[in-house]
Amino acid sequence: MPAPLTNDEILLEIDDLNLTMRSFEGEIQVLNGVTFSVRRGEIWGIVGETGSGKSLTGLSVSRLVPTPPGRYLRGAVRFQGRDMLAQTEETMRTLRGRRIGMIFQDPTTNLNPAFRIGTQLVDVALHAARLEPSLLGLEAGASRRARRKAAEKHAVAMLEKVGIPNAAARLRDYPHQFSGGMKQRVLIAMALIGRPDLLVADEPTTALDVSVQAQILRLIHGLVGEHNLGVLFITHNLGVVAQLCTHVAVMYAGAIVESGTVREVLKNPRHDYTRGLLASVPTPSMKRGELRGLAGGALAAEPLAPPPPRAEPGPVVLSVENVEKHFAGARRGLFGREAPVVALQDVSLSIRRGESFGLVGESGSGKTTLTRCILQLEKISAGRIVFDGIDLTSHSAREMQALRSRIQIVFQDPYASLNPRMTIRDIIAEPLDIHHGKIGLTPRQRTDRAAELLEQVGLGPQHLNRFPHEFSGGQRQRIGIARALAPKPDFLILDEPTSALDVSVQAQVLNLLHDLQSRLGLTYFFISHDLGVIRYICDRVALIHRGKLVEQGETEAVFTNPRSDYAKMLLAAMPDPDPDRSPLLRA
Amino acid sequence: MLGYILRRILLLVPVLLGLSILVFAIARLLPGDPVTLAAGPNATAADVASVAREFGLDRPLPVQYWNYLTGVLRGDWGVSIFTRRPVAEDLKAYLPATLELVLAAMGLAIVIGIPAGLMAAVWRNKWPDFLSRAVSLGAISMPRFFLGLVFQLLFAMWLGWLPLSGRFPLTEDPPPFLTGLLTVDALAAGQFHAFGVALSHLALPAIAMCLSPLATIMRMMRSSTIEVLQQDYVLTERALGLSQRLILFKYVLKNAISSTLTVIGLYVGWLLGGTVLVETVFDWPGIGLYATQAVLTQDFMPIIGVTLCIGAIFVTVNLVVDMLYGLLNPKVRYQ
Repeated sequence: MPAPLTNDEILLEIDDLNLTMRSFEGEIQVLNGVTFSVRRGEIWGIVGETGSGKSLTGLSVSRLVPTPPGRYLRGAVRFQGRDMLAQTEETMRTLRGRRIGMIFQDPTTNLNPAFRIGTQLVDVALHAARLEPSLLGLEAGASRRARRKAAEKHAVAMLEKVGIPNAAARLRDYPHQFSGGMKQRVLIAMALIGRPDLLVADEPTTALDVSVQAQILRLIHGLVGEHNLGVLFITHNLGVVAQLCTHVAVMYAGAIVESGTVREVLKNPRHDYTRGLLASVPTPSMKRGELRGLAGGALAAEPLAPPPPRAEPGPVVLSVENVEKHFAGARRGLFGREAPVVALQDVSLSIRRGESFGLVGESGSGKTTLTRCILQLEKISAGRIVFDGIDLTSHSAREMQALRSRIQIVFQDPYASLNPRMTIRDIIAEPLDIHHGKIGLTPRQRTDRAAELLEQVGLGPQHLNRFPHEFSGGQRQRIGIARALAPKPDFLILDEPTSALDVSVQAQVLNLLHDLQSRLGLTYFFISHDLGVIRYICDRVALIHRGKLVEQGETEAVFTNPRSDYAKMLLAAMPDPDPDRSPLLRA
Repeated sequence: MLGYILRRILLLVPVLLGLSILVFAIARLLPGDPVTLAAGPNATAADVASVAREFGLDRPLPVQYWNYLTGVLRGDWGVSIFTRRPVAEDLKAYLPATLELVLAAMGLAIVIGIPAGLMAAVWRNKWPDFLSRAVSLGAISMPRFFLGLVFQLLFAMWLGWLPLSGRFPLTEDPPPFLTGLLTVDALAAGQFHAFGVALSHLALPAIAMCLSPLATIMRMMRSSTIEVLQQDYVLTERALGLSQRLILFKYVLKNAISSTLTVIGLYVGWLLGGTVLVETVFDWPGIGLYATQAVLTQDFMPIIGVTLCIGAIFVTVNLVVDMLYGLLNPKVRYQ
């Protein structure tokens, strides 16, 4: 047994850790001399973008990086004095779930969908108490039944602790019966049920809405205080770090470029990359054109695009009038159905030519349903949608087809929205083929037009013959935008176009969108859950909550002087990358 | 869940009605005239007409269908024009033999295929995986009747371990009729000797028949297990220290098995309809031989009866599969 624990004992020490991964291109160094240590009571934020090595650092703590293809070249991971890279797999297993708890990013995929949450919690509790029955308040040699019973009691207590109401009854529920935030609470309960000393949380709030994120951060903060845990909090979100963490390590290309207390690093960043990262985050207090990008790991010298001139708002181009959308309820009994689900309720808004109109809402609020209704992919139950004087809802599918070239959409996930088996040329030219109908373009014209579109979004003709997997997320989203621009639309729906991207790439894409708008005179309908992005890009904004618009108006007015409770709540929940504005750390 | 089951059972009625109409129509539209055939080579036109009248074949088709349908509901499945035996009695004699064969084959395929597929996925690209892939490729590429012949040669002729063919020798006393499945009936009556005899006859045809579903189940299980092993929740389960055995046989298995279940359901139908080759090779008195005979003589009533039986068993099995699917996947259950 390790010596009795003092309160600020060093839990985890990572020392000059070097990890390589074998891939088709040979061995690639993915961790390059990572060094830091975590004491009890400290919350370490590990910040970095995709591929920076932050997740591999977290997995290395429990030695969950598969070897091969991974190989540790040098360095050590010491947990409570043990050299983790030298332990047997059996010893590692006794530490996992017992001394080290882990939470991962997406709560919808990290709970086993086929088992009741009670079963999963009980199994982890039984595992943690395998060598120490006292964890469950039992003597050694207690019967199977007694252990199971104690584990169940323990699970209920843990669920209550993480804020799940009616915990005893909910043990018998399956994961899909919980909301995203509740699932993440269950996962936190699972990670903590063995009373670990260290919690490793890999992007635990990234998949959650901001209001839920705020709750989860508060929960983790509270649990750290209560149990004197050490926490490794891996995230790409500087705002979250500023809200929650006591310390931060900024990772770039497998190495820590800067680390220290949160205040030191975020208030006075010494490294260019940290500065660049901070400048790439659109914050609620940031004005248009202030957003900068990152170039090669350093801050780009200039804002990427000049702030577009604020054109006088034109006439209304799209008006949504008292739109309702109901979905049939689930089947029940022999012939019955449950009450219909009301997805949109009396939604009215009007978008003027040349402006950017933002729609903000959390998951399940009806954002996507509304865009599908505008695109006539769903029939609305009541109301009218008028585009440029034409009532879309009274149009036949064929008449709508002619209008589709004028309304285009850019989707959220650049990885899923491009056909992996088509070349970039074909992807971009597909809308041309559709909308030019029988006239058709010569192959030459088709290629020229595709190349022109690629240049508009900052790529070039040399990319025409490549396939989507050869591009990064940001480049793919540029391709998605080029495809949307192909039939020369005047109205562009942008459905969370940057939420799957790293902040530096997000900044570039947002600036590209600004640029395109001022050059091509586009109207944007911009959907996002990120208030910073919305404020940065939109002239006017509407907030949707449970299928109803709760507030709309000029962006500045809504942000500086929100009227609805929902808007106030959202603004308060938005993590600001300034540690002095953290409600958790101030307390 | 109860509502769902009731709704699905109600849905069986139109499916089976539709099937019966289809089969009835097709059996009657086939070229050739079984009545002339049955009346004999020297029959006069009057003889043929009397045979037709005897079987009600002179009446309009809808009336015939209606009479047949009401008959089936009373347990009267018509009479074979050729043998003049009631179809219901024939089915009662032949159907259990085929069912026993198919159930034994499917049982073997499931019991071996699922664990083998799991193992192949866990030891992916190691020797258990290569072995299972080689076996399944071999089993799929060789036709069942050929395998049957090889088995007969090997186990019956050369080694003499198992009987060559047949279902139950006339020299032995068969167990009292209960389900018609001889192995089950023997066990139920406590006749262990008869059970051994029945089992030894069942072994070779069942093995010959099981290989193809076994290979498919193994491959399905392998690929779905590999997919499940890559899921986030498996990493979470590992990160929280659960043992490899618990993760595999509890948490992974239940998620990986549902697509295999669909295949099993489909295979039951495929085996039921395709027993004839194996039954021929092993001289197994099942429905496949009976149906072939009926088709060759264009004997309507047995054809319709057999098709309806297989159809009914097939939809029932798939209903059971869908319910199991609901049990395995709680998200389906409440819809």
